[in-house]
Amino acid sequence: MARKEQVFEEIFQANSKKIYHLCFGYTGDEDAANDLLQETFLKVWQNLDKFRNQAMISTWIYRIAVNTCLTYLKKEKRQAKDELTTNIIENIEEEVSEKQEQIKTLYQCIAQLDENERIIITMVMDELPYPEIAEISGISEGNLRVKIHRIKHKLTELYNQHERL
Amino acid sequence: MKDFDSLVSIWNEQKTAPIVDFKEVISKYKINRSSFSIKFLTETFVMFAVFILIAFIFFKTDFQFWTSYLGLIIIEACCVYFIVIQIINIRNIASSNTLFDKPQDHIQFIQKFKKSRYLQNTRNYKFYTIALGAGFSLYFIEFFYRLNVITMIILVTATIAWALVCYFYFMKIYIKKEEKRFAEMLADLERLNEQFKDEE
Repeated sequence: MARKEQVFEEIFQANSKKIYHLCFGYTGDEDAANDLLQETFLKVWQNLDKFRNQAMISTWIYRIAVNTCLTYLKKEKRQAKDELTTNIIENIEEEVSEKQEQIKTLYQCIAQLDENERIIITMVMDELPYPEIAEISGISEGNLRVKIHRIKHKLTELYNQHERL
Repeated sequence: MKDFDSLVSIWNEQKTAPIVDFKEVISKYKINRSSFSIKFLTETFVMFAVFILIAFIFFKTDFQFWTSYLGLIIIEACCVYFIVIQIINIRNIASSNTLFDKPQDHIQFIQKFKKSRYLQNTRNYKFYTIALGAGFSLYFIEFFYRLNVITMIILVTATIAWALVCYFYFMKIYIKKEEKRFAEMLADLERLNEQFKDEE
C-alpha cells in the first residue's frame, strides 16, 4: 500500500499541473477545475495496477481527464459564458499585473472555443507532442494538424479582438 | 497584435496550480467507495427483506381467493425487478470503464447508457407502477370479504388515492423532468460526438 501511494504521488506530481490546465481551460472555473482534477486522479488511483505496464502513462491520464471533462458538460452548461468570464476574473485578480491580465484574457478567449477546441489547444500550449494529442483525442494526426491550425488562428483572432476592446 | 507564439509565452507565465493534494484523492476514494457500497447494499437489502416478508405471507397465510396469491406474485415480481435492475446498473458502471477509450467511444457509451437509463426511468417505471398497483388491487379483493365495510372503504380509498396521486402527479412530473434532462443531455452528447469525429 505504501509503495502504491509512493508511485501515485510521483504520478500526481508529474502530471497534475498540466491536467489542471486542461480542466481549467475547459471549465474556466477554478473550483470546477479542482473537482475535475480530483475525479481524474481518483480514476488513476483506482486503475494504478493497469497503468504500471503502460509506457506513456501521461497519455492515459490525459485520456481520462478529457473523458471526465466531457461528461462534466452538464454542470458547465448551468453557467452562462458571462458568468464564466466573471469567475475567471475573480479567480485571477488577486495579483493584478499586466501578465495576470493577459492570462485572464487568454482564459476568456479559450472559454469561447468549442469543447474539443478547448481541450486540444490547452494540450498544444502545454507543448504535448502532436502524436500524443492525436492518441488522446482519438483524431488522426493529419486531421489534428488541420484542426490545430484552425484553432490557433481562431484563438489568436479572439485574443487580439479582446485586446482591442 | 499578437501571434500564437506570444500566446504560448503568456500561457507559460501562468501560476495557476491545483489546490488538490494527492493524499486528498486517496482519502476521497476510500470515503466514496464505502458510502457507495453502503447505499447500494442498504437499498438492495431492504428490498430483499420485503421480498422475504411477502414470500412468508404467501406461504403461511391460507388465502381463500386465488387473486390474493396472484397479487402477491405480482408484487414479488416487482421486488425482483427492482433488485435485478440495481445489480445490472451497478455491474454496467463497474465493468464498462470507457474512460480509457477514445473520447468518441466514451461519448457513444454515455449516450447508450443514458438511453437505457432513460427507458428505465420512464417506460419501465410506468410499467413497474402499474404492475405494483395491479398487485395490491388483486391482493385487496380478499380483504373486501374479511374486513368490516368501513375499514375496507378507508383502506381501498386510501390505496386508490395514493396510486392515482403517484401516477398522475408525481410520475408525470418525474417523467417530464427526465424527458427534458434527457433531451438536453442527448443534444450535448451529439454535439460532442460531431466534434470528435475524424473527418478523414
